[in-house]
Amino acid sequence: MRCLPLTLVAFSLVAISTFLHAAEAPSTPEPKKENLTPGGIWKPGDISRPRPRVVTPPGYTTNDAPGHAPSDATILFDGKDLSHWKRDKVAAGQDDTAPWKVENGYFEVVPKSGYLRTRDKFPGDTQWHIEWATPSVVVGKSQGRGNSGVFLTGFPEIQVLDSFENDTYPDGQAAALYHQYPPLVNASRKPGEWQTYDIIVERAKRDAQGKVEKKARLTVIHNGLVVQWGREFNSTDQEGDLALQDHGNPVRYRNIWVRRLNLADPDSEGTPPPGAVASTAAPAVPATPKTSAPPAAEPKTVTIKTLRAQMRYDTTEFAVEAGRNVKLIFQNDDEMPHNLCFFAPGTDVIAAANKQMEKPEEALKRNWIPDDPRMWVHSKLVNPHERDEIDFVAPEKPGVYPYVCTFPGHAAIMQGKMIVGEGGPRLPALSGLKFQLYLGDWKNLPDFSALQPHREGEVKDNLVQLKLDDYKNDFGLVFTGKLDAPKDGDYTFLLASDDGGRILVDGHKVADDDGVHPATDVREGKVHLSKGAHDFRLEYFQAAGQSELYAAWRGPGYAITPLSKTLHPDWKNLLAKPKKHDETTGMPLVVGAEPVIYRNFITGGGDRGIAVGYPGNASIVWNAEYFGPVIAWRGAFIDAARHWNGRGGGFQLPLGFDVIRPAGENTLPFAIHPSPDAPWPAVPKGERADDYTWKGYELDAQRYPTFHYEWKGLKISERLSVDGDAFAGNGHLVRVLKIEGQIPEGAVLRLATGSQIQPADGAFHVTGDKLVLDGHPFDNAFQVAAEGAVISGKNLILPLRPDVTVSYSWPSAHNHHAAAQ
Amino acid sequence: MSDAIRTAFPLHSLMKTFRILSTLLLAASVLHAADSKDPAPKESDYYPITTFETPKETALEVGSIELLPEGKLALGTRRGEIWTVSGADSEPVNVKYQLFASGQHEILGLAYKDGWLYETNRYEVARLKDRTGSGRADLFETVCDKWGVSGDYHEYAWGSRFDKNGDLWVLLCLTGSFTSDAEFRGWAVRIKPDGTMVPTCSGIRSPGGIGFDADGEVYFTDNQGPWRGACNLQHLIPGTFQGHPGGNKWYDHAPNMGPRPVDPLPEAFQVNHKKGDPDPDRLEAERKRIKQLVPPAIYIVYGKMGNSSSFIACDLSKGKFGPFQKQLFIGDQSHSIVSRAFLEEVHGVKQGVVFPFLKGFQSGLIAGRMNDNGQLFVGGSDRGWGAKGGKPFCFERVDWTGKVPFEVLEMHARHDGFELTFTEPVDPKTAGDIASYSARQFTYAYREEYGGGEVDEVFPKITQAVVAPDHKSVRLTFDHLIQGDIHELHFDGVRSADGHPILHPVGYYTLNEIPES
Repeated sequence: MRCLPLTLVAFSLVAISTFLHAAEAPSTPEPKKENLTPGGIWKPGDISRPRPRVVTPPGYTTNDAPGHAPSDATILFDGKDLSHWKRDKVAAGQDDTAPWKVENGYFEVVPKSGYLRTRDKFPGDTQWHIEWATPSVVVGKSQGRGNSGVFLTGFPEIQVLDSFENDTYPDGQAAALYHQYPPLVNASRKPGEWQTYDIIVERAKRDAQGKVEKKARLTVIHNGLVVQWGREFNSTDQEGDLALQDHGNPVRYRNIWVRRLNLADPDSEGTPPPGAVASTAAPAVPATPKTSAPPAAEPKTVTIKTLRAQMRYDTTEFAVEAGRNVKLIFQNDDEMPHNLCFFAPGTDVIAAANKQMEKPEEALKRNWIPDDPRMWVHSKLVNPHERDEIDFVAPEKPGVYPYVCTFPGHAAIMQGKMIVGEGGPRLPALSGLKFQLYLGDWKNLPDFSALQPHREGEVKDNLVQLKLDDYKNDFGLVFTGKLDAPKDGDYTFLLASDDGGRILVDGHKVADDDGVHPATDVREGKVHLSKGAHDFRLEYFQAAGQSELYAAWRGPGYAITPLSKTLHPDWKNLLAKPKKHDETTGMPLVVGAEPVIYRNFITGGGDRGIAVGYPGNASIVWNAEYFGPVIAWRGAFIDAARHWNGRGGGFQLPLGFDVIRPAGENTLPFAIHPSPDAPWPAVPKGERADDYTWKGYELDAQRYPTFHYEWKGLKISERLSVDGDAFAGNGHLVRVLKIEGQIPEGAVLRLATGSQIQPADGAFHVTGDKLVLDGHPFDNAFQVAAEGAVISGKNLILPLRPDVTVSYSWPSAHNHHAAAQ
Repeated sequence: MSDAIRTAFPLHSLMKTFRILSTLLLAASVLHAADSKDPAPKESDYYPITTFETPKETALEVGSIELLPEGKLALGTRRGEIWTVSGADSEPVNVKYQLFASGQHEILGLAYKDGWLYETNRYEVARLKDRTGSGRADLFETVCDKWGVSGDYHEYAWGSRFDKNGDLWVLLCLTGSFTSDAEFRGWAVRIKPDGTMVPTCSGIRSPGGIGFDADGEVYFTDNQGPWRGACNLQHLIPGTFQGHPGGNKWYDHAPNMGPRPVDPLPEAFQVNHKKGDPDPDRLEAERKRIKQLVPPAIYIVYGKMGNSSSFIACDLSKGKFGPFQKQLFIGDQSHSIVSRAFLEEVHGVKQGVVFPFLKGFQSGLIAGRMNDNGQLFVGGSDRGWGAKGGKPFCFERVDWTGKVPFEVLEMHARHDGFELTFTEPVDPKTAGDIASYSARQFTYAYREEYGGGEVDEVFPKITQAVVAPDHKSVRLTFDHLIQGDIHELHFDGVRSADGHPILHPVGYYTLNEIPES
């Protein structure tokens, strides 16, 4: 037996990764201070720096036997079966089982059976190992000899070919990036001998503005020799799979694995230094600020979530009255830790967060909670998919209080503001407001009572305003109406006008801003009013140029209340009017009292998906070609940012968590006399079920959709709703079907499918089939309850009847996790 | 270039020089006119643009506009909302918006009929109704969902209004620029009143709008890309092939369409043609080989008349929009402009001319619709494809002030040249002077490569300009015409009877057929 030692893969990769690191160095941020290593966090020789993960390296591969995979790899072929692979193109009536031949620890191309593709996609930067051999009996020449290929998403084919003493065009020989780059050298072994590819995939990196700052790169090592080095491509894919080509030649493959590379921040996945466990203890800064304010009525609950993979909060602005008790729920839906730290008005929060970098080891011990007197309340550092609650009393002083995540590198974009408005209720609006429009050229307010109005009328929204007519210059306005003082006391009137204006209450001037000038300064006047109605009069004139008019009042125990349609910039913060979320960043669609419908491409929801977010914190995608709720999840509904920015391409992962796929992918709801062992009726991708017809949906008074479709002459309607609160863990998704028509003998509805279905307390616990969406694995575990449901093989089915009610629920709340990476 | 006329005409550079000189001279005379008389006329003297405020709670990325009873409008948006609008035909302050529907998948077609609002969304035509009078739709009835969709963002579906037979047309964008990965991608289909779908035209690439002319003939604009050297206006005749072969594999699924057309020759096979043969990657040559191929009725000359053609709106206002009755107004997303097109039929083929009309819209125009009062409503967005307008989205209106601009009204092909008619009587001296005109001929290669420049440029000589006795038209004689070419004609020197220059002194005529004398 010939034992031909292939180059030691592990050895060569160590060398390569050292080289890679050196090549990377110029692009990493320069240390801010001389005593920090690249990245600006760790000192040279810093003993507190996280230790690189320990990985058992791969075993030695010889021509006779492959070495074992490294301990952190995902093994895609271990010599036994092709369960990680599928047929790439599935024709009608075919399942997607990989059709190639497995024997003696390898698998072999079955000519004309089509490509194989991995079932999973792998996100981020990755390292791949593939071993292959061309037939030992040489048949054909040039491209006809041992031809196959390796396809990684976003890159050209890496050619597999017998290139040992077999001439062909160079950009098509073994290890060429097909029709683009020949390999640096021809490192081919003889036909029949096992050869290796070690491939490093670096995905494109975007900067904070979304611009690609680093292109995707591909490096290929053939039999231990670098043959393609950092080739750049325009792909912006952030994940990908591996496909192997059927080029009609019986090429063999074995020992295929992939592992994720954390090139950007390996420290983040490092293990703590020995003895440093205590550093994750509670932060040094107290979590509740001291305040002298008496607790106000019931607390205002504010929920701030992080958006997955966007390094943003879903809420970038919220308002609260001064002195109000606040219960803040901070939920981290992202894949990395975040916190929420509130600072005093005017704080440069980016600088405050970055200051920690001066003493990173101390900051690490504080879990990156800054030691800064301007910070007055904060959450703890919250791990992925966990949450924290903080109770505090809003400051007495109105103003804008910024909040920010102080975890290294996040502050620049991960921030928001809490606007503290004046405490107390608002005063009543004006009533019976009328206007009189005068025309004239004045430098000061005239005696309007001596003039004839040009036009007069009512002001429907009872707010003083200028856009009542087309006149831009040389006009005057007099507003008259009633003020309703809610109690006896001193009231202050505020006025800013461009040009002149004045406010009169019961005929007495209380605020005066006469003359030609801009509306920069706010004039105030105080007046004592008895409880009840008072005459309000506002006079205004415009000479030329800019025209503005702002008026407001505040009273005993009452917050500033606008009297004008437009708000003076100084008052906006006092009024604490919440702003809509930023339109161009995270755009979560929030479900209120009514369900929200969103028809678009949702990951796992198919091409004809109708996403519905229901009150009660559960959402579904109802699909108009598979006729049912194909996926469901709980928590937040959906982020529309992907589809509502740019060209809007791609599929969007649900925003919530615990996604389930109760009844299989691309399958249909009904079957007649199904055998427990037979595959359930399905629709191959690109085809349509010809015995089902989609009819649309209607909305009831509560705006809940009822979906309509037809099957074999039956008219089916389907309505879903949520009973309870799915976020809290006590919610059920209730699905009600009504079926009109003569139900065929033996017709059944599939409620669920999975590897395990167990009856429990009148319901069924289902462990559904493996569910990975966008690389995120989900447990796909749920409970189903329906009267008359029976287990049939891998399916939970229900003999069809005119009225069907099914409920789906999730495992209890403490058990949940989404997309655990 | 192998055309006999082209080779017999070696004076390109000389003609170019002449044209530059004459342009300079004309520019000087225009300046002179401006000095001596009232300020030079501008577009807004005739067609002012009114910009509406839009609802604060949304980004009104208008993708479709339809007229509703009682002067109301319906606006469908890229975000899948439908807003009904009242008061848009009066002062802007009167505009009121009501959210009629939301959560739809991108609405690029709206049509109203018998109390139902039909929407074309990504994968179906549905009809919507508000049964309770709440102002919000509560019934979303699927009319037809028979076409394929693969999940690719490029697979837009554009819907028409009802045609003269009561059918709706849906244009199905290809999957990307080249391929058709789902059934009938790259096709125009008709939806009959009973919901059945009739495959109607192949060869669609990436439409930007669909509309009708005054006779109810159907047209769409397609965008520059593979097999499209420039954006163009295409006449949708049932049974025809519109030029991009990417979707022709679906002929198997459309027996009503007859045999699959011969594929246009990919350029890889075009190097072997014999010297003296017509260039094979010219659409004019391929027309003779591919009998189902319909040439563009008008090339919307790339870079000059826009980069991204969109809506088609026909003026049926019987003069309320000015002198351009029955002409087509074509939007452009990228340039944020509206162009004007005049069509005629020669040998059964539609062809015509496009003129600049109006610029200065706030965002990239996608949808446009004119009401019977001659008010042109437009809207759009710049999302994903930048637009000169600069605003992320807009909803605007164009009105006619009642003042007639001095323009070329129509441009007709004649056997040896063109005949121009004008909106106002011309000054016979300038209009009868051949130096007042200059012309250029060119075309685009017809090939798989994305887009492409102008090719086969020739400067024909204008030999005669004869003003009609009523001074309302001029007959131009060319030394030669080239079938299939765009004939670019400048009329910078022509003055109206009262001394004004032409507001937009250029037109681009696509000469598919040359009429007999």
